[in-house]
Amino acid sequence: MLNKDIISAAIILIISGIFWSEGSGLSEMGGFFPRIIIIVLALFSGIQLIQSLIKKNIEPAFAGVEAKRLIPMIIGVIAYVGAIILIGFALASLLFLAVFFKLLDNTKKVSPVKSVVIASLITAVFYGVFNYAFLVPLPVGIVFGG
Amino acid sequence: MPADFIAALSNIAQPTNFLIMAIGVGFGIIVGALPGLTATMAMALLVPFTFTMDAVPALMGLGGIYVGAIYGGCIAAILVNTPGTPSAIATTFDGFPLTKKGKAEHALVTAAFSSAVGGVIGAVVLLLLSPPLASIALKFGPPEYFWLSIFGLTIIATLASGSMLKGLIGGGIGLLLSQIGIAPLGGEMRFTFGLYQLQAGLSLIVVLIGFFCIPEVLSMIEKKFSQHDSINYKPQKGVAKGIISDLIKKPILLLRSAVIGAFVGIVPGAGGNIAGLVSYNEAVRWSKKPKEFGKGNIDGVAASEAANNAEVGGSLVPLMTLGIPGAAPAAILLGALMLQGMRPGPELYINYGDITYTFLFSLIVANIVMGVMAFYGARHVAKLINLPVSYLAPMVVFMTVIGSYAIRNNIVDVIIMILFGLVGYVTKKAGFHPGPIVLGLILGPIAENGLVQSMLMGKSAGSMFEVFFTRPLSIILILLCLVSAGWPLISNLRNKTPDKEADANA
Repeated sequence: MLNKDIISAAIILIISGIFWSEGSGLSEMGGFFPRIIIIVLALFSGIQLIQSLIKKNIEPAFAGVEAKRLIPMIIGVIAYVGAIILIGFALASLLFLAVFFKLLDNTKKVSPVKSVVIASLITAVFYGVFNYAFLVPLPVGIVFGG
Repeated sequence: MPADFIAALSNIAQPTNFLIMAIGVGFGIIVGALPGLTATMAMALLVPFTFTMDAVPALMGLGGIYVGAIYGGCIAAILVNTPGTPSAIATTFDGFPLTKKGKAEHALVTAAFSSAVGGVIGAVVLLLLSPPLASIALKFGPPEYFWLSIFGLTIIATLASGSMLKGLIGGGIGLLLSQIGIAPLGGEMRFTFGLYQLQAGLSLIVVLIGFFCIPEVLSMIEKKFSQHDSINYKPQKGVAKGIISDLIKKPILLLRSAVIGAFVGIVPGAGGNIAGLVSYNEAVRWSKKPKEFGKGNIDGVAASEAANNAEVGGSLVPLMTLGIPGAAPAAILLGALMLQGMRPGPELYINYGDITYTFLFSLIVANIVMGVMAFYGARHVAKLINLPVSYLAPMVVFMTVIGSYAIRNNIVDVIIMILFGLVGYVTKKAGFHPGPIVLGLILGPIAENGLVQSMLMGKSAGSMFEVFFTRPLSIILILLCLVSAGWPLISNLRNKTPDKEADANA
């Protein structure tokens, strides 16, 4: 049966292969060190693969993890970055914070209004600090002409 | 050097610099006190806020965070038996039993005093050791830098994670990632996979933010979290005075613990948790009443706290002298130095003496400030331990996003940060700790420059062997590599022997 060590070793071997192929056209000077790294990495991954095929009782990687809590957060984080590109930092951050303040609250004490108010305050403070104090223009989003 | 000392003291005395450092200490204490948030994360989150500052306040602020966060970890360790940071693991052994006996204040005062004393000693060790070591490092040529990077990799690979093989693979992954972008020698474009955004290579600080913050956030929410019992204790008159005078009578305990902490810190990869555990173990061994440990003995708290705060200074010795971080927070400091255009290593003392000594002296001051804040503020910070994860987790993500964007005003950096954060979480679950990966990323360019330049030297000298294996400093480094690579194997054999005997007896 596949376990986390077999899977990780196999993935690293594949990555080593991809990097080897990408670096095949490199000159002797530019390619020497990366090739050594790839060979060593593949060697160690191969040893891990053999070890993990022999050793059976390896704890599952995601034992005890509640997928229903984790997956929305991962999707939320990716969507947050996408939303920054589309609608800008301020609006995307407000939405992300407000949604997750409410979603992760297992006490059910945080009302939607409270989460929006807190999210707005945090976003406004950071937006102000970065835009006006640090002079870092935060993205305004494609929709708003950014 | 005297001019640098005077400039350093004058820089520290400037109100703005001092205030930034004190805010850093306060922020560090709060973050360190929150279980799940580490000193590394606190620094990674705040580095982007410092890049618009001058180097002096930026480094003083980050130093303050480091010092504060390592102390802050003891508050949750003492009050709720959950170390706020890994450095405070040994503090739980006697800290929480003291709380159960109704002596939480005894433990917190002990921790505040011992942390400040240990931290100051650690910073003094850094101040005394790093300039002479840096002058030795100035004699390093390409072969020495090559062997130094190999030494760094072998030692971190063996210490940073439970499995030596996984540590080595992690180091290899980091090395491979360091190859993305323009080759340091020859200027060839490598491993960009057609993406022009990768031509400049991976931004170290962006990768560090991703690796050290996002996996922690996901770990925080992957399981249903529960609130700790409410924490209330009332300060009693005379307790603090009594504890401090008691501790002053135990200078050997404090000094021994601090020296252990500082020297464990110097070893790359051995962090505050190992410093605390080793020091605690020694405190038990040297005590006249070893059976009282684990049941609420203030000596146990003092040993752990003096050591883990002394480790801060120690962990900065290899960074400031050789450019190799001794612990994960030191890696963040390396990123901060690079953001300021300063190359960590011996050059710090030659080209940026005033700034470097300001930072070193400010660590001593930060520890004193931390002691005062801890003394008066620990009970207030204790109320924050129950800050809901529902607020913390989204806030940390928010800060990682704004921070990684602000470094180069580039949304691609945010994407890379998130990508590495998710990869970091998955690799952590598969048993690959971020330490070796990050160290590989840092050491990659040093190793490559050292290797290729040494080979060119070897070609012109007509002997590769002579260049790599006969120079005195190289031989010392090779021996260190062999010891660090061989030590885990010897240690494994030693650990297995009693089991075999036990099996034989069974």
